[in-house]
Amino acid sequence: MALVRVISSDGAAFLVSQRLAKRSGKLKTEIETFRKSSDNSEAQPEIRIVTIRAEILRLVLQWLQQHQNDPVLPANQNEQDGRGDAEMGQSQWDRDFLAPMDLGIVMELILAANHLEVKGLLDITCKLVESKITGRTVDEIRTAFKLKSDFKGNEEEQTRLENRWCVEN
Amino acid sequence: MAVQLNDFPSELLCKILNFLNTKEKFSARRVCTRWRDQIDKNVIFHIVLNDSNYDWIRLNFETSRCVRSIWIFDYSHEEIPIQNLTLLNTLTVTSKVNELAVSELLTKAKNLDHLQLYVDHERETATINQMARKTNTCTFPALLNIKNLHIGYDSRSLRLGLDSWSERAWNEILNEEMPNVHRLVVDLYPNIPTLKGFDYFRLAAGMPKLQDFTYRVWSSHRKNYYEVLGAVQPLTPTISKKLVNLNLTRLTAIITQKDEPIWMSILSRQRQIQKLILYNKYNSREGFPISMIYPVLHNNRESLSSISLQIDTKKSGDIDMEMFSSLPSLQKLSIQAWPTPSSQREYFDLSIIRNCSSVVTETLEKLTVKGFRFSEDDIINFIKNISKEDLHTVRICPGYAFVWRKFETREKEIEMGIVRCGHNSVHAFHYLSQSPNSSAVYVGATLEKFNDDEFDRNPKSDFSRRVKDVTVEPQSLQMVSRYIFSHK
Repeated sequence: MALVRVISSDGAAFLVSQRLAKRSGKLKTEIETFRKSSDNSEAQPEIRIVTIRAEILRLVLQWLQQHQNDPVLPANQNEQDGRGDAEMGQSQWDRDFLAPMDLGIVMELILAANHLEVKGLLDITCKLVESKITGRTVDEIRTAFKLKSDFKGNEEEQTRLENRWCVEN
Repeated sequence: MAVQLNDFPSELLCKILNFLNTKEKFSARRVCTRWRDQIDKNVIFHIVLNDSNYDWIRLNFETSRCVRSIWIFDYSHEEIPIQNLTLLNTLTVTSKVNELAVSELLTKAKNLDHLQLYVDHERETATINQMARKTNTCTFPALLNIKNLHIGYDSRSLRLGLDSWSERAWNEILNEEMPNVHRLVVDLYPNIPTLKGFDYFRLAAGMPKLQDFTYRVWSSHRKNYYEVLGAVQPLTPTISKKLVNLNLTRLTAIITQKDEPIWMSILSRQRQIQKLILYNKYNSREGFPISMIYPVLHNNRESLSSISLQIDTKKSGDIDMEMFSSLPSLQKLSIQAWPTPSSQREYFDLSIIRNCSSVVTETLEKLTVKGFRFSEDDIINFIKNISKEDLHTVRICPGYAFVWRKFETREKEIEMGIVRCGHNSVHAFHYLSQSPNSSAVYVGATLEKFNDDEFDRNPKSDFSRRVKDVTVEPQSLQMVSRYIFSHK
């Protein structure tokens, strides 16, 4: 079985099958680039991911391992409204996988999934963040995500008026 | 390491905000200026507009800039309660719609990319005729900007209304130059009185930027997809010239003998085709020969990634698959014999596929070959050579295959599903098993058991002895095994 060594930003190395790694668009490209540039077809590719630390990379690989037999989704599939396939594609395993994570880890996982081009993981993590927004008041959202209102003058009032039906409801 | 949501790039923030429902999107606009601006610019609001929610829409969207998509039906008001439709890019019009409102929508929508017109054909002929007359007089002001025109059949319950459009209205549309349309899908019934195959060519000829041309007609009983088009009138030199100058990247077409010359002209001029689907007329006994696509393969060598063809075997002779092996981007290839052999005697007249394994290149993900004869050695070599990890599904469906002859069963067709890996393969396997004449499950079982001692006692094991050194991944075998035993 052909293997590839994937190294995180903090130096941890993960040895995974190339078949599994290729489920990430980014890793697939890197492996193919390595193959083309290498004289030795048996050589093992080594890929450094400088933006993802070991804990997060391990989670991404764990998710890929679980979903290794799923069809690979094109990056732009079902993207007209940006929703992807998260709503219909989330399994019980996915829910159990995400359940213990705090919001900070989920945020990092989103960035990692985006960087590594793992669409399925990106969809379910984005959906998870969305669920933290839904049902909350504006102030609660700001608190949860450490955001500040930066509206000037009567901008906030204007926006509120545009949304008056939300307030009235 | 603390990552904040506002550190996210805009596309990721929008992806998250897009998951919100309409009310939550409005709420999210009040969080901060970045969220508001992103929602206004990039987050989509899908609005359903009808009589029952007219007041609600007027109250909440009258001054909104965020409406990107409107689906309008059962709407009797003459005006549209949304002032600003500059961001509207998708408009779907279905039944019982006031034609003045549609006219206003088309006038206001300056950036329309997708226009879909459907109508309930049983009840709404009058409304559509009114609309057609109205659009006839205002000559579709939005057409200049439309990039994706889908005039067609809705697969749920509504049917295309173009058969009830007036001929005059259609002539207006056909005479309209649509300079920005890049995708034209024509999914129609064959019995439309005012539209013939000639008209579709004429429509396409008015779209100089057309890249994706899908041209097909449903049969009237809906069971078959490809039916006869109306008689093709001789194309004028002007239209012919415009057609051959199209620069297509995707083409789906049913080739009829009458319009074969114009297709030949169009195909021979293309240089950037990525996806090519060419079928024959459903009820025809004759199709196009393989030689028809030689210029396409030659001229679009770098770009072709997906090819699906129905080949007339009697006109084509033996087919050397080597011709596809030089396409560096090819991911999907489907070759089906035409017409499908209806008796075993006909199998002897079929073309022989040669060098099938040569097409399994690094990039190929899916291969379907159906209805041809294979030599025994060719199949075995082919199976031995499919070692590429990226090849998910292989489906070989020989018309008169060597295994068939030796098994001497009474079924007319054998389909052999070779399962490689993963979900796709199991799906393909399942599909094959649905065919009443399929022996896919049997062959699958053969592959699954070919290393088993018990298998040698099987009188039908000749095939398996010949392919003993084939490598099939254990995981795939387990899947096949589970599938077979749960469906027997």
